[in-house]
Amino acid sequence: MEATTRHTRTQDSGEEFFRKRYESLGGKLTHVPLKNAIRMNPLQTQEYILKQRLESLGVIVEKIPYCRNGFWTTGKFSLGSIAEHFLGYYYVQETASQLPVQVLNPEPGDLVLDACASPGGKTTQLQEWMGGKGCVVAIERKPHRMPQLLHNLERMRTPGVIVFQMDAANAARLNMHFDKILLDAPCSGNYAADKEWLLKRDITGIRTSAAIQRRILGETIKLLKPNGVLVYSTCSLEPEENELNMQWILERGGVVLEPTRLGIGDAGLTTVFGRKLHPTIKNCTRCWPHKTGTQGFFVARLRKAP
Amino acid sequence: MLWKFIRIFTQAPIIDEHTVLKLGSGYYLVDEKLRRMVVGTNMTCAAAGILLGREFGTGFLPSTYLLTLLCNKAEFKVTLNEKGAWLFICARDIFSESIIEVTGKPSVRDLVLVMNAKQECLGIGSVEQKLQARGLVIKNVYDIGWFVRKKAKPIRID
Repeated sequence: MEATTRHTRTQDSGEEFFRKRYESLGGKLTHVPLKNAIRMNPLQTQEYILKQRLESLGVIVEKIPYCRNGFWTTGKFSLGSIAEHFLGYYYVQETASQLPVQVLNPEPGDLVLDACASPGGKTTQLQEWMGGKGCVVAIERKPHRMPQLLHNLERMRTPGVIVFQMDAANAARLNMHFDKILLDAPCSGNYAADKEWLLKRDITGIRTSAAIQRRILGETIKLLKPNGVLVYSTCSLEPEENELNMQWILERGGVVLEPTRLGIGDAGLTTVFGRKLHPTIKNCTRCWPHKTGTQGFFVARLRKAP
Repeated sequence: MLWKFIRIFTQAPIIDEHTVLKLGSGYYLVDEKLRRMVVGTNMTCAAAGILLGREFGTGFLPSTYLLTLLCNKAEFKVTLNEKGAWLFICARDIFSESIIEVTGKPSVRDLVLVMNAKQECLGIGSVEQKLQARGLVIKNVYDIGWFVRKKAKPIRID
């Protein structure tokens, strides 16, 4: 058993394995310190007020140029334990995690599905973009992740969210069709956001994640209205969970990939391990930590045929 | 239980009862469209709209939103200085030196809303002795930092 584990580690896992893998994709494995980031809640406060309040506590606040309502913060204490946080004036959210909602661009009056909602960062962000008007249906499969989601919704005071505890792959049971869908899929994560990542991940786990993602993507896309938009994102750098899933959904037909129009990140890979992929996959955005200073991330914008 | 809780602080109508939806142990503020969606689905809904509060055993756990609605109408309020406000959301009790303003004339054992200098409600306290006395005068009954400590303190509704 032990020998098998060692063998597996040397073949399909470990720092050296992933270093070579990323280099073959045109990337790098470089440990970068991530900046602390928050997202202001415009339903509860305004930029100048929040800045003033945080600066009076000794926090340095800097606008993230490519994120609406996003700020980098530097301070000597946790921003998760002060009154401004408890009152829902902001959400502590890593920079790249703020991008998918921006790409989805929900508008007031939309009916939006947040397919894997907990802990609720993007759910509350969706409502903020909608000005609190319209409805977000948030679903979460795991019961132990529900309290965190419900608490964040309470804290951020989002008026138009309905929550169901269910598997996103069974979302058809809701009998609803959506203008927009956010699928921030469960994924294997990335080394920049998790110090232990290189010790615990291997290709088998990544392939398992990719299979789960395809199952959820295949089911949720059926729930889009014609001409509706689905944004798919992961915090993974692995092509199996990103570009290869996009290739899979494009081959099934009925959707096109649109540009994400973000001011950050690289284009999606159109050649992966020697395999040529659909050229529109370049419309996706891939964040390599060494280039963006964020965690690893991938975002794609799919539009359903009219 | 929601209405009983509100009446502890004010007799004034602060919420239209037709906008309140009960889901499990929670009370939610919803508009008509959201209510129709919840009622129209055949699935069990875990939450909808803005949480007002939750039944918790024999007690009630108010939301920060409900406290904000209450603070405009509540009979009794105390406002704390910066240090007192910080300590209060860390579950500490209130010493008379921290109080910078009192609204109304609360008696011993009355519940009061606890505010910071920016008039944001931080929670609820129970008056332990006359507010002019020295030392601990108000006990922390509930504060908005409870979730971080993962220790809910529901308010008893008799």
